[in-house]
Amino acid sequence: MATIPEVMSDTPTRDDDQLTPDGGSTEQPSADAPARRYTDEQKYQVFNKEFMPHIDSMYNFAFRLTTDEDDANDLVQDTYLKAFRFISSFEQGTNAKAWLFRILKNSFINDYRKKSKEPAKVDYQDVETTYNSEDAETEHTVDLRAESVSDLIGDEVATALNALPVDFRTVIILCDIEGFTYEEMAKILDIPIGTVRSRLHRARNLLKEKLRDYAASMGYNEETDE
Amino acid sequence: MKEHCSHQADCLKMIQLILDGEATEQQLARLKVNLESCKPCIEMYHLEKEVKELLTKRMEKRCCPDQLVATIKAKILTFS
Repeated sequence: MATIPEVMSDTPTRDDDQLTPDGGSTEQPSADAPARRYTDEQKYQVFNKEFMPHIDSMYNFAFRLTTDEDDANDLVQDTYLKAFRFISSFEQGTNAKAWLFRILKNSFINDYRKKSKEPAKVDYQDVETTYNSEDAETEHTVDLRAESVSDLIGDEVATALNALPVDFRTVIILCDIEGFTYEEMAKILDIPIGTVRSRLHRARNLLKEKLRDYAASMGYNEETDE
Repeated sequence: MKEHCSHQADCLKMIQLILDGEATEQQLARLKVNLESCKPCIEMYHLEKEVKELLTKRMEKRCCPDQLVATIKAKILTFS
């Protein structure tokens, strides 16, 4: 992935966890790697050919993060304007979608999360602590059957997803809705692949709990074997 | 058929890797065996697959409003 120093500078990154495409750790490319010099015409070309095709995915991501249409509008617009301003740090032919998602995610954290209209939810740290203990991780499976959730409609799934703390919601959106690989997610989120895996695992357990509660409230009966 | 699984949590992690397309050949082979012999694994597999499909297929995909596309295109023209 191209280096995007200015756009990302307000978010701490973990350089030691950066991975090369073959999955191994490596030294970071030197910070003063020559920025591509695009002519104005080339800039518009790259923008239209490489960035604009992802705008629906970007909007969907923004909407799922903010759960608000106006916020999603602002977030997508800010992200695309940033992408254009820093276009010289994008290398043609590399993963434009992941590059754009990373900018959007960082903009969301820096600019929107604090003033988000969503009511205060469970604090992420609390949830992390709860689920971080080794016991919780090894013993935790959610008692739920596939048949209990198979009749849920999209809006019900969205409600359950929205009830998750945003970091957990994010990994589920990236993986299950946008289809990013773990390696791409690691780059978008600036976390090691192992953290992607465990966060996704916890996120899914939380989601299944929400779905179970929802299914129970709708009167889908849980059969029990015990 | 095994009615109980003593490493259910590990099996669940493996099942998720497989459904995400991130598993190794070895893990795939192990799952195949488990799906023939372990009831908890079969149930977990169906649940994980169902939940993933709820997210991929049932949730509405929001498209970017045309107005926003137009605004962005107009704004970048004023840059450079």
